[in-house]
Amino acid sequence: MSWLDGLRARRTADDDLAAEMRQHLDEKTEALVEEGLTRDEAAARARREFGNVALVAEQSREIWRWRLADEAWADARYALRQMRRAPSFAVAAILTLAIGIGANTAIFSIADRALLNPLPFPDPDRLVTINEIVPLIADRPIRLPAPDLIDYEHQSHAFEALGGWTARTFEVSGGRESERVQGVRATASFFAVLRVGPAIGRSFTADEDEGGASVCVVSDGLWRRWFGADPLVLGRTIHLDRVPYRVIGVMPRGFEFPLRGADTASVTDIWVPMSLTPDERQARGDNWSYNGIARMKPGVTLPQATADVNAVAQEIVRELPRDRAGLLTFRALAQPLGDQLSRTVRPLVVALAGAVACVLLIACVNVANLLLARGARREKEVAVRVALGASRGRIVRQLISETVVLALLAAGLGALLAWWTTGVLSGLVPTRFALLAQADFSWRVLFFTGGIAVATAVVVAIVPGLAATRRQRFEALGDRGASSDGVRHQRLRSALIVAEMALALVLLVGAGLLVRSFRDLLETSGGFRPESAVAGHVTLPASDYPDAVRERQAYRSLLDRLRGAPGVQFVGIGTALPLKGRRFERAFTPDQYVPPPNARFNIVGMTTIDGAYLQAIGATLLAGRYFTPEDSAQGAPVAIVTQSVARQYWPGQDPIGKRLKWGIVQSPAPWLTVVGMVADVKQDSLDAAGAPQIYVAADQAEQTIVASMQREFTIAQLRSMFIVVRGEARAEALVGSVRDAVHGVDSRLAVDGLEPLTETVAASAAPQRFNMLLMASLAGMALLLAAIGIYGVVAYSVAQRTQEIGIRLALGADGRAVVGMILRRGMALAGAGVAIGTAAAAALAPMLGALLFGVKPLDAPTFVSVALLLLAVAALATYLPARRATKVDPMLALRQE
Amino acid sequence: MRPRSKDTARKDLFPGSLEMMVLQTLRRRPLHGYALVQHIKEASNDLLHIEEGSLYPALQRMLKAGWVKAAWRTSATGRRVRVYEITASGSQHLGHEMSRFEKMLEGIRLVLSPASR
Repeated sequence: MSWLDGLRARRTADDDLAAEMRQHLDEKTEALVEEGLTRDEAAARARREFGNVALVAEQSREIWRWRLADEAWADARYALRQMRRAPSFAVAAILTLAIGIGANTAIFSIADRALLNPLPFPDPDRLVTINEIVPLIADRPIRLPAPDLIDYEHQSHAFEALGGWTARTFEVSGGRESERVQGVRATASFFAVLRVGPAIGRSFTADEDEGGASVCVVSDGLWRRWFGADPLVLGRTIHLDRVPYRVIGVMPRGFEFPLRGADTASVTDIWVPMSLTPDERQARGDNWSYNGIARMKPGVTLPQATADVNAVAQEIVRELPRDRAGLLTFRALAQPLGDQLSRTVRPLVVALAGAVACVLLIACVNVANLLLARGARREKEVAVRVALGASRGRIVRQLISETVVLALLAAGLGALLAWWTTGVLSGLVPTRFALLAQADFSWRVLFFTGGIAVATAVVVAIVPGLAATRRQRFEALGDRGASSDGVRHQRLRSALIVAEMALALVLLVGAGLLVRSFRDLLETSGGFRPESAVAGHVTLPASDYPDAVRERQAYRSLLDRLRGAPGVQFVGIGTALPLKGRRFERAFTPDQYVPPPNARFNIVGMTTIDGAYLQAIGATLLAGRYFTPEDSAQGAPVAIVTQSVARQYWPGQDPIGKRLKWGIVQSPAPWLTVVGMVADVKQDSLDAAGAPQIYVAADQAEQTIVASMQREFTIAQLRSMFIVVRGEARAEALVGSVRDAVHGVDSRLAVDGLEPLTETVAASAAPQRFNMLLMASLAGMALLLAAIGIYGVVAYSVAQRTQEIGIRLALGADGRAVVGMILRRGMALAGAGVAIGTAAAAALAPMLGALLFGVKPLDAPTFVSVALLLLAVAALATYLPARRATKVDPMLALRQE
Repeated sequence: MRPRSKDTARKDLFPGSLEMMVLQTLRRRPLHGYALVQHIKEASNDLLHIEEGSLYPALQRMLKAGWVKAAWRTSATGRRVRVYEITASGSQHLGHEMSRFEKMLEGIRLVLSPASR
């Protein structure tokens, strides 16, 4: 039987039953009339003896029906009718809940992607990174040397596929203005590990990888940008660093690996074969800069995978070249890839999830309060329904279904709000949190929204629902005195207000801490002066600049051109730029330094500079001098150190004149003499500590560095330089000068990231700004809702007590005394809320630790000012209705009865 | 207040007794609701009083279980009445219930009779 037939059959059954019972009553009435009763008496008695017709009908119907569904539908219709009757209540409740549900939906859609499903690849749980822990370098897992990567790929057994990649940029040129794009060198197995293939064409083969074939796979974005989405792109040529490459594949739209923010600064557009050079293949125990990723075979556990690669690692350790054997030990391990991607955003997302939960709870409390107040007004209606035979469970269910309807409407609105906010948010997400911009509205999100709406409805309805039915039925039917609202009722509302205040305080403390962090961050010195300076980045393609001579010539010419530009004060180039996070860490040996036993390598950031780089970034010279043109290839090798290098290796001594060299003690590199010391410069980000740096002169790089390292690798590093210009001219003019100078040297050369240093600083503070903005807007919502909540409750209780207040005023009470009385009661509630909230915030604040900068989680000024703010808002929200109470006309109030 | 469903169940002699009486009555001849009430009242010499309200839910239950079937007919007095008739499965159910009832009565009798003390 179809659903429709069932419905029709039920309708007939209903009609039959009604007719049958009517007939029963008729027959009985007639029998009673025959016994001598009047018709009216007979009809009344027949009805009485039959019982509650409606209830009997309902009970009979229940036997046939899908009872719950039917009742739910009836309840929903009833609820909608109720809403039409009190539209302002419905609008207030729906909006309040929509904010709470919307905020939760938005954060869930973010968390769902960022924490629960960070990897948009098949079977993501089996994806791992392969890392090494080298005690001499650091305790944390680091990347791999190239030869180790090859060994892991060929000698491990626990993996379906194991591959490697390393990020680099490419100049894309030919036909139009060159651009520098993010690229990746990847092994052929890279795509097999991810199990994602090109949408058009193919990925490269192992032979192409080994053989150094000039083929590439491009991103959907580059395909559209550079090839106009040409479907016949396969086989076309693209010039990467001025070397022709054949396009063999286009990745699907949305494919992103490595992920922007986690490993690279921008979206990857090009994948080329890794094609390791002979130099790279031989760098055993050196140059840990290759990322290993792998897909575990089904059923393989993480410890098994780790054991597997570590076995290979130990084999490598045993066979290390003689100069490193015994000195270098390490172990290898596999770590879940998803976890590592989630790590950067986890503290924020967890904090946000807590915050939106608070907002929703506050919204629930507000709506529960509204319902309580309305429940009091609807007492009679409920009492009538109870008297007519509605069971208590039925009444509570009715109330719950009313709120379910409210909550579902709110959920619809909230989902729209969330959809809109996540859209706006993803435009604001700083690069570091790129994962957060990936949120999408999957069915899981909508499921979550529905679930949370129903849960919300039940939470909101259960308290007023029970309160409504517990009251004496008959009492409510009759007239009642002014006090029958019930002390318990009032107490319940008070408790809700206290809870609301406490929740708002917790959120405000969180937001306050982040605001302070952000302010502190902006005030902290990065060790350079960003004002009136611009910087950009260029990389000379190896094909046109094959050796150090050509390279030096190009940069010297660039510096000369820029020095002559109008308004330019200082010009310099360097392999690193403050806050850009690009640094080359090297082991070095300071002279006269006795390392503690079991010391690590002395690792320091090496920045090769030329021109007036330090003056251009605005570094602070603390001792000695800057480099001069005399510090040339022919001059004595020199170095400038940052303060932390001097403090660590020559504590309490004058660093000027001290000596150091690159590499370990045995290294054949020449000694450099320290000629200057500058204040620490923050290389990674404003919130990171200043990393120790040693600056060396570009002209001396070849003799002091290259001698000790892989020549090719170092020259490659020196090809890529930041240009920094400081001057009186406007930033736009300086930017123009840099671009012109670069194109004057090489018309095809692309300059990327050309911007004022102030913008670099702003970008570095972007994550904190983002955290702060999100948390502050949530706290703002919480504050607003809490203020509305306390206002509503006070206004309601004032309305309830109109009579009492009228009597007081009539008896000569001062208006101010009445305001004081109401204010005192309101503030007592707020005070209790603040006290509880402070305790809760103190317990929860340490969880924010990872997001804070320069502020302790238990920052007293934040706690105090937030508490004062909340009390002030509560006072205002209480004062407004209180003042209205004194405007009550005593006579009117007394007559109200 | 009117008794609600829980209370009516309690007024039954024991669960299922009303259904048994209805089935037993219908076994003799088909009847409509009002006549059923009257018949049971008379047959028990007014000792048993059926809560009229509880009859209709019980009839609906039995209709659903397939123990009775109903049809609109014109009664001797010219009324349109809905007449209930016992079905084969209703008879079977009644037999089953009756034997269960007998056993229970026997059990109660054994416990309550003075001889067993």
